[in-house]
Amino acid sequence: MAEKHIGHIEPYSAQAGTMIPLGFQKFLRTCIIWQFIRFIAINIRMTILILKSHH
Amino acid sequence: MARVVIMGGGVSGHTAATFAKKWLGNKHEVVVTPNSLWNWIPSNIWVDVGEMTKEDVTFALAPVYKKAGIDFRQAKALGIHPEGKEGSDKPYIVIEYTSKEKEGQKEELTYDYLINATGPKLNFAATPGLGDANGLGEHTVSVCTADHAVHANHELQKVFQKAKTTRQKILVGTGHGMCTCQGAAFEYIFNIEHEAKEAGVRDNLDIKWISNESFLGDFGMGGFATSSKVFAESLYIERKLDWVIGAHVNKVEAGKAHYELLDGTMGVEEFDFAMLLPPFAGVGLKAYDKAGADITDTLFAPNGFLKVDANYAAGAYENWKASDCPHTLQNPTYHNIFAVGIAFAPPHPISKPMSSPNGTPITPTPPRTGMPSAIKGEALVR
Repeated sequence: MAEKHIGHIEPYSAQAGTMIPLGFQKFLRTCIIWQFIRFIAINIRMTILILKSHH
Repeated sequence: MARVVIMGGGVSGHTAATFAKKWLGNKHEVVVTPNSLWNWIPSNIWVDVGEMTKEDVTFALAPVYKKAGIDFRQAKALGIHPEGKEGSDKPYIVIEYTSKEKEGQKEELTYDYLINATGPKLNFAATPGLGDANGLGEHTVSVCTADHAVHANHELQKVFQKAKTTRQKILVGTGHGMCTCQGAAFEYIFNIEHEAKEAGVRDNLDIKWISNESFLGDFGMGGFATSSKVFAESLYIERKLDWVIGAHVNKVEAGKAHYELLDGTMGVEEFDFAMLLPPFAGVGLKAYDKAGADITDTLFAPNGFLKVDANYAAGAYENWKASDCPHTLQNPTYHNIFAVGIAFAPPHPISKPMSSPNGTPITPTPPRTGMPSAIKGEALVR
């Protein structure tokens, strides 16, 4: 059953097989504190990747 | 000291120019670029929803180069003569000035090292109705340049205004089966969705994505970390964005985008507002040998991008490797010519090549984006 915040999803449509974000997931997506932590984490991963590529 | 000529003062070219000046201390550095302004293109995505202005994402090049002691010519390059000409072995390029004072004047500029940082030709003409040789058409908007982005925002605000009383349809994505830059359109559709909420008109808008990706989250890289499909679909469905993928838009008319899908079926999407990215091609530079014979095929791939030290003979998708990519960005025939940013020819796509049963290629081409373009400019000089 589709979550209320998503609305109706047509069966067998492209959207029918998708992962629907629930309340906590949705909250995390716009939570400044969590997104800042993720931003730092992604930048660390990118920095490691770039440093590894320098010969 | 060697003369370094850099064609293009964009993200890659300007980065290469400033690092070359800093590290090589070259007194003979020339930058040739047709625009008087530098544009941080990735931020045009904020201009086209009104969050930034054109002035926020551009700056004048002439004062910067004057201060740095770099010879700046506001001109476009027309052709490369890597073997010189009759009576001289010195390689040169032919440029045509675009500045007001010298508009139309041509000049020959010799070089010891040449960097092609000319970026993409926005090939609107590749899809009938998307545009022509002069650029963007009248049925859709674009986010590719600062001026395009300003225009796109004006049109978007008109649609938001209409949406206060009448339901509107917005279509965002790629305007051809061989486009790259899905990431830019991805940012744009979510920016529009956010701005629509802020404007209080989201409930009266149908916003739809259309792209040449075989799955949502491909981004021209075949996805990443195995989760980009799940991640992307989840984001789209959260924000109630519908999508059509595996699509080659083959014709655009007022309010309609016609497309062909990977399974060969045809469809049409109607719209009140559409941003459909054009495919990229090389800017159309020509090359000539000492006798004046056309050697464009020697320097450039059929798509107009400069050949470099990449493996262009990798063959089928199953044989592709990361090592096919170039290491020095140096042309294999003329070793004093380099290409950076979007101007170099990638060895092959990254996403798996696909075609419809009608033979229409519908495959994202390798992604091109700002940060790696700048890094390449720096790496090349290093």
